[in-house]
Amino acid sequence: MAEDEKLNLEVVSPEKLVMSKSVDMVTISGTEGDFGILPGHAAIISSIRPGLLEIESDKEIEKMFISGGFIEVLNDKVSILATEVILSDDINISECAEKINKCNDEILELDNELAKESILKSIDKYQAMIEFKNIN
Amino acid sequence: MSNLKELKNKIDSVKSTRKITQAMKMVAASKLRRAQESAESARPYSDKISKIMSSLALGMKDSDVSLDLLLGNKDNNAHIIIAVTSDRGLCGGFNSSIIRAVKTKAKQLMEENSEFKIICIGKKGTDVLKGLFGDKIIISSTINDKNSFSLAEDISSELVGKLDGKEFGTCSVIYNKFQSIISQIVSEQSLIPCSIDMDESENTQDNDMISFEFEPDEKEILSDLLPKNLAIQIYKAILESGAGEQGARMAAMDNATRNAGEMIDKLNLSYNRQRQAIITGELIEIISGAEAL
Repeated sequence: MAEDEKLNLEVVSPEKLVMSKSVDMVTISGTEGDFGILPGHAAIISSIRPGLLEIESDKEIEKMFISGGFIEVLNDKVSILATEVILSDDINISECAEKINKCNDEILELDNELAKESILKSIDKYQAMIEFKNIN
Repeated sequence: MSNLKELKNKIDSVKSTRKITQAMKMVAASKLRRAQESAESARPYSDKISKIMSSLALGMKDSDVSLDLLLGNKDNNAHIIIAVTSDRGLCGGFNSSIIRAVKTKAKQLMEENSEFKIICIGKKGTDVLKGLFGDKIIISSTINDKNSFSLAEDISSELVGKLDGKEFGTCSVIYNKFQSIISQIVSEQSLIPCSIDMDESENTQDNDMISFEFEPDEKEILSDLLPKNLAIQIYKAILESGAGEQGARMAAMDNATRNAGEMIDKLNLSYNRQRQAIITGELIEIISGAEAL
């Protein structure tokens, strides 16, 4: 790997293009485990579980929370399709805990499998958010 | 003939109407900018998702995995039409052209002996379509500007549920595509089966040579991706229609303002003519009175 090789990173959410720049390394939480991407990575498409996205460029590390989505790597071009991108500052732990409690209450009243699944997913999301906030 | 006071009142009322239409035009113009921006900023995501979709779908060709969401359910000829209209009126032919398109589609489906159901987004379309198709409407919803993405997600999850329940086979969305301020094109897009952009042919050539790794496997990603894609396509239609609505309203209000101006000119003319006639009459009365002395 040559020194000047870079990754072309694009992070998009349904509302807007969150970020587009060239970076050195991307670390992301895939559904099958976290993985890092360096220039020259093989072409891959993976889904993302709620978790941390770490972007390293010029020795500076940027962190954000991604609540799910997909990643595509092709020819050093990394596209992240995020359902939601949340910055660390915007996370409020007590709010998340409240939402988890609310979800737990809701789930008791439901008997629909599909609805249950989606609530479980959002509980996962809030838990991951708290975890993320605690680490950083 | 109306007397002077009546004419004066009429002029005043047309003038205030003109003021309102002018203000509405200005409001629509500023809303248009915002709507256009949000439509624009949603584009990267939908472009990306359709790109991933096409590379996935290509990779799936030789595998025997077939998903209802991707290809539709051929055994079921029921069709769902999603009609995207606006919540508010006063935007020219914006909503009626959608309703006309829905009617044509419904007629065509009936001729083919297919079942159809309608999902209405937007209050105006719902009002009219309820009168026309009543029981065929399964979901009707108003557009809430701030929550249009969650609205799209709700509809798509509803659709996925219904597809799993074999309630319908195909689905399409009819909406006003924003072309420019003065022209919105009524377009129909097939959601199920999924329409994959053919402009991607350049990229697909690359993809033929590069085989992607999938994590987890293709089928799982696809079954995760397809509902998202569905939501995104509906979201895109809502945004495009939102921008189109403001454009249509701007054009309609511009016309109304101009018409009001014309009307004021005409009324002013007849007002002045009548005033003159009255003055002439009074003068004659005075002169003939003086002569009689």
